Amino acid sequence: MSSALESLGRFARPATQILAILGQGPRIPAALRGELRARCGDDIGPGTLFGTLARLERRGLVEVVPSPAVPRAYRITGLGADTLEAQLASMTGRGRRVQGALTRSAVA
Amino acid sequence: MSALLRLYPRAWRERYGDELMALLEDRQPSPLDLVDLVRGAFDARLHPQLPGAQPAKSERKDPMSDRLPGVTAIGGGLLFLAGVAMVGLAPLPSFDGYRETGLALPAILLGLPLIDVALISAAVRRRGGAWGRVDTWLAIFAVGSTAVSLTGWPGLMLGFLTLIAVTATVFARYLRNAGAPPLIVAVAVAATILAVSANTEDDRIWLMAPIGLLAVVVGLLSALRPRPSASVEPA
Repeated sequence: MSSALESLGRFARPATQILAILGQGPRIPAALRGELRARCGDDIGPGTLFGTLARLERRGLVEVVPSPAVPRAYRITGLGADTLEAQLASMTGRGRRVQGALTRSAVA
Repeated sequence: MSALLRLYPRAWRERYGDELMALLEDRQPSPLDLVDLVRGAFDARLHPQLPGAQPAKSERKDPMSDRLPGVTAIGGGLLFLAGVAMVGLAPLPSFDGYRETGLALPAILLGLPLIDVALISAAVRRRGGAWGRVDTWLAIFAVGSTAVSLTGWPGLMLGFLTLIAVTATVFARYLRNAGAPPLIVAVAVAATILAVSANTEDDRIWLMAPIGLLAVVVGLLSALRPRPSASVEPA
């Protein structure tokens, strides 16, 4: 499941961050960008933000909240939540493996 | 800002344009944001992400837009031929040396990338798809080597040789895509490479003419039939 995000190349990181933020509730793009900067320290540009949103939307990981208002708000889908969970589990597992290898090399 | 937005494909603008403008109004864009927007526009053209974007594009009926690359290739070919003729028809100097090229060199060096980019675009339209990685790199090399060739010696020689290589590749890719027999493709490539033997000292300048003629012929074919008929399988 995590490969769905890893296959996004340079968009994988902002995609994971956006899914994590949308996991807490719908956001409009400007709010998403502000939270990405405040919480993740990443000041992603508008082209990258919409490039990432388009990829997530096309894969069914996020969707627009039905409303006539502009700007529209985005929310995470069930598939998006599952994908995020798998991605975070994969990242945690990888982190543990690296930490284990570093500990072993320090002891040796 | 709306000028930057026009760099994006129309379908993309219809879907995300309002939201993007709202985002930009929310915070004054920095110079890095502007660079990111241009990069995003290239990305949107190279990797369309809109659901149904590809079929919509291939089903679109827009004859003028479809014919534009072919017409541009004809224009590039004529500009190139005009440059060659300016040199070829100029009188040889009374002593050993080069002809005065004047405006001929810029015409030749600007005609080539025009031909290249137009025929790459024509081939993409024939395929009914988006610009691929090879298409993009060929266009970058065509424009980049023109810039290098305008810097004077030795950039002139390096840029010109690269341009000839790119042009030969572009002709070969277009003709193969259009279903031309291998012999025709080989003849077109050989005729293009002949240009490296051209010289402004004597009549060998006319060895460059086949490039311009090829561009006009291929451009004409592309303008008349920008998309393959149902019986032709695109490459």
